Amino acid sequence: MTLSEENLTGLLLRDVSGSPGRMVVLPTVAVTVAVVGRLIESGVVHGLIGCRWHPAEREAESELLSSIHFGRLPPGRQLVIFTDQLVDAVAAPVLLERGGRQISVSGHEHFMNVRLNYPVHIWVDEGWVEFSGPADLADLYGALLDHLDACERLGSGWLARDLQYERFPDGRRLVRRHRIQALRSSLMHGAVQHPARWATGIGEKLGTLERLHGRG
Amino acid sequence: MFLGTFLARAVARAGQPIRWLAAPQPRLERLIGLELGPADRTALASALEADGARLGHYYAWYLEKLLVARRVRRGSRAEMLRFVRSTDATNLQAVDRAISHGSGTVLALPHYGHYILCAVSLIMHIGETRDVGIFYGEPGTHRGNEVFDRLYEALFKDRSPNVHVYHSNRQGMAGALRLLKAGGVLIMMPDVHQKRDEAFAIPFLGLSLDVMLGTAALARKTGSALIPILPLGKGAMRFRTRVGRPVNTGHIVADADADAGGNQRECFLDYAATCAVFDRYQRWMSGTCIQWQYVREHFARRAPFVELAPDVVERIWNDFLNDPRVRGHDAKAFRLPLE
Repeated sequence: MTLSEENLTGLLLRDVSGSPGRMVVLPTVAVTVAVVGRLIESGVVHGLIGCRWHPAEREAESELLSSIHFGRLPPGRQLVIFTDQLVDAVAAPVLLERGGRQISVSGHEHFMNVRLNYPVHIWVDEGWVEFSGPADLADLYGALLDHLDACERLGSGWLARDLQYERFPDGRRLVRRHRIQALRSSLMHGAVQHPARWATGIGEKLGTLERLHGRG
Repeated sequence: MFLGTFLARAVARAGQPIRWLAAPQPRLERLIGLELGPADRTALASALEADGARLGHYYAWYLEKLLVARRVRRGSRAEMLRFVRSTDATNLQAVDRAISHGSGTVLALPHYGHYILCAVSLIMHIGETRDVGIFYGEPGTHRGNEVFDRLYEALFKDRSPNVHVYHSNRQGMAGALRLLKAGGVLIMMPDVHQKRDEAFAIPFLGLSLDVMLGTAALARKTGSALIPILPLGKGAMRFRTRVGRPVNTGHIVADADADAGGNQRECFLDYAATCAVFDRYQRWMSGTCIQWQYVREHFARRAPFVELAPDVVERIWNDFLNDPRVRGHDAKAFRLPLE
């Protein structure tokens, strides 16, 4: 289904008061970024997870995640999640395998659906996959993978395309080793610049980082 | 050939007024074949701001590079060599002095300015009396390096027995080590890396740059002098190679590296030497960093170099090691049926 302003607004304007709430999984494209931004301002969307294209919402996102985690989320909330932006090992910790391919995704959709009884609406290119009651694990995660496949078919309009490598084991390994190299570099640079302040302990730390890096 | 070079230089000179342009000129960009996407423009604007320059400076530089590339592709060997000589205003005696110290020399040349002309000119000059080589990634795996192979074959192969080419593979590395141990001169380009997760970060032009430590390591392992060089522009289609003082490859940082045994100590020495090389570059490039080949990628990444105080390192250390992005996990994948 083509994502238009009309069908998107149509879904998001449906009243959720009096219900447990709703979580809507959207792809990051120009129209969803614009519509969600407007609906947050007008109070129709109460929370957003995946804020790379809405940097002003970062603080609110962190409060939202904390209230979900501690079970303090009030009922009747309409949440939007750009799950395609959640790619790193912290944001996407659930490792899935389908057709011999391993890929990691967010666990928020499953948690909201099963633990908080939230209906979850997931966009795929044929339309919306809806889980009104607690879903089967395989069905829900299968729908999330279908969603990511549908995102892929959006082509160059998919704004989060370049982030996706971090979902895959090779990408995770690359990021991991790069982070280790970055800290090794900072430690060595500190020692080069301010030797007197770095007199002890650096060798041990560098050794630990070298071993971690060498682990692959 | 004389006319060709004369004309190319005349066009480059005639193009100098475009340096005054500040706004984007789509027709001019099409004319000189410059393709800039939105991200390129943003990155370039940051680089120009750092240089205190206008977009026109980049246009003029791009045009000059284009004219040189066209000039180098045409003409006989003798014409090409004459052209290279006509572009180089370097004091070659300074080069001779820098490499006359009784051991090998690594000349660290970044992809800046007319670096290809600079390398060819240095090889021509040094190769008259000494063994000299250039080390670069194999063209099969490093796109764009075919130009070095072509130039070597056209200018030096079977004609200049002192001139050698080494690709970055096991055989090339062995050859480069032999050359340096025998007191030869090796040109290396330290501002590239193939695997980002093998590279180290250094501060460069206000941002973080990923580099390999191989240039410094090769100099250290062979007891060679590590000398940063940079071809700085001297008018239209002319350059003068700045030759730096040797960088210390056996740098000892108080006690800080005393407990860094084995590979760690060597890695530390190579890192310190590499930082020193790039520190020279950024001072020399001041105001003209747009002539660095990777300027757009560098400013597009916008990655700051993270400087950490020792107390901060102590505070973050355990969190860092436990961060899932660093720790990784061995969780079994949840298998989903195929639809």
